[in-house]
Amino acid sequence: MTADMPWGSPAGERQPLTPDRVRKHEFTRTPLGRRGYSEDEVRTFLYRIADDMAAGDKEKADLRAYIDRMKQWYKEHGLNPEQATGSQTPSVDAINILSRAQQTADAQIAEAEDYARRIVGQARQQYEEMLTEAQRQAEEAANQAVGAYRAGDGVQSAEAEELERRIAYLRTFADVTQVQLRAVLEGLANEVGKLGHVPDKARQFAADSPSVYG
Amino acid sequence: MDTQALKDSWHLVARSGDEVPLYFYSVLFLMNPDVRDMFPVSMARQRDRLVGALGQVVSNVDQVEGVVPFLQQLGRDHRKFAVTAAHYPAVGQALLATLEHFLGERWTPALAHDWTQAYNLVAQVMVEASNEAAKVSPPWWEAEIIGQENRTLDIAVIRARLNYQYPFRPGQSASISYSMRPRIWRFYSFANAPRQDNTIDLHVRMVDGGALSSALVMGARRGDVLRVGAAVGERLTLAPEVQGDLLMIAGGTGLAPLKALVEQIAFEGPSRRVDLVVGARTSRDLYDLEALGKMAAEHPWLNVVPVVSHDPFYRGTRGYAVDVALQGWRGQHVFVCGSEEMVQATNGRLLDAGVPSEQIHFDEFTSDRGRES
Repeated sequence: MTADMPWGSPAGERQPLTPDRVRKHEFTRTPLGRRGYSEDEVRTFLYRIADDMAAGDKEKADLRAYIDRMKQWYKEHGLNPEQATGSQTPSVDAINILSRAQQTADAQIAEAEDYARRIVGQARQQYEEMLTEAQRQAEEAANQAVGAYRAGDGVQSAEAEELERRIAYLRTFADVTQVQLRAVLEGLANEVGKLGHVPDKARQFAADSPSVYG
Repeated sequence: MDTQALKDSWHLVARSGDEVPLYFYSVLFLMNPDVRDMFPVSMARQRDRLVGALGQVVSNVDQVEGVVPFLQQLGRDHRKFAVTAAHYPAVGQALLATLEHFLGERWTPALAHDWTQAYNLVAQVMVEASNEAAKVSPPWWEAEIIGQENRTLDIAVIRARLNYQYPFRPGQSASISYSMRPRIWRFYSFANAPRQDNTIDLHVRMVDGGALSSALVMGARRGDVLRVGAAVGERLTLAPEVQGDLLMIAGGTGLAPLKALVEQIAFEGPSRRVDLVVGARTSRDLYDLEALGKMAAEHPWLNVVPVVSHDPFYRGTRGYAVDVALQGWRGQHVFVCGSEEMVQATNGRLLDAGVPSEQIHFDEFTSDRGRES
């Protein structure tokens, strides 16, 4: 949906990148055995983004100049541009279009928030269950270890060693679950947060925060 | 001014429900596009609040004492949204256009005149209150985060330093917004008595799907900035007439204002025995035991009892905080803070056990589940 702008389209023939296309851009993976993306491709892409940003900056400068000229014109004709937009009530059609757009936005955000709420709730519940189970097993293993220790006569039995191993494993298991869930929650918190503001004002959350979306 | 005509016309308009504020905000934004940015993307909550406030004003329009304090508070509160006197005419215009649209034939010049007068009065009271407040306090305070500790998977303790002197009393809360989530405000209680260095502590639990609390728990870093409104709420503060020993019941991060009260008693007295029952679902959720243990060791008059409700492996006291607390009730005043659900259930149990309602102190909103302001 592009209207022909009187000041010409930026960046000539090439279709300018949209934020959405930047976000969804896929890089080729490097050949097997090496991790990451092709460096040349990433570099080329960055240059493209830089070009588009520069074009955008140039366009903004042109627009500012245009606005200044308009203001000047108003001043010369003894008008105040701030009031020139008139204070007549907008048309009912315009009001209804905006109202409908607002309702759509509200519904989408509510749905996304609800989805996030359910996912986090489920994740929390699963984590609780895993942890309780790990605790139960650790408790059991500890009791067995005590029993084995008491039954043994100071000699380190293979059984006791095995139990030590199991306890250590369960502790690690619980820690790992917590780390994984935290990563999931961070990713979700990030996504939920994006619902709260207009995209063009979005600040990057934390560049290094793990994302659940790959 | 024909107040009855105002009320009648408002009731007629209010029948159209959510369409009324929807129409109002569309008119407001179309006529003043720059105002749109002062609001969050989703307007659903906002619409409810607008209708609530308007209804409150209209239904009390003929009794000054009922409506003026409410409007003054509203005017003061709007300072934190960067609302100025210049915004009021635009809102008035949009309101009149909305009433005209929904009343159709019934919108007479006389009624238009009355509504205009009424709105101008409302705007005047709000602007004057806002100007009064501007003489003594900034529109909002900025607080730089100087420490953020994740105590559990979903609870963080945040310490922040305010930019100006910040008057508050233990037990109070303030609406807070975070630079990463602009235009979203939630109430949080302060977890400390006022300090010389102008720092505050907040105990934040991540509400599932809650944009602000998630960001504070997951993303807040040292150096980030919070916006803090003026301190509000009297219901959990320690009034002079509350004498003698105290019993406190905390659920989750509802501990925050109660901890602030304990600090106040430690700093100022008068000396009294305080039993603080700290409830949590599992032992892992007892996120502040270390600090509470230190306080209890330091102050012989303080008794901290952790209670866990859903953790079969917990070796301490198990059950609900209120049941444990009731075993130690000897006629003291009781302070309760936690999630809405916990506060309601706790109050019910206290009343059933014969605690007089005037001795039960609880807040209408909690640090667990801040209302948007």
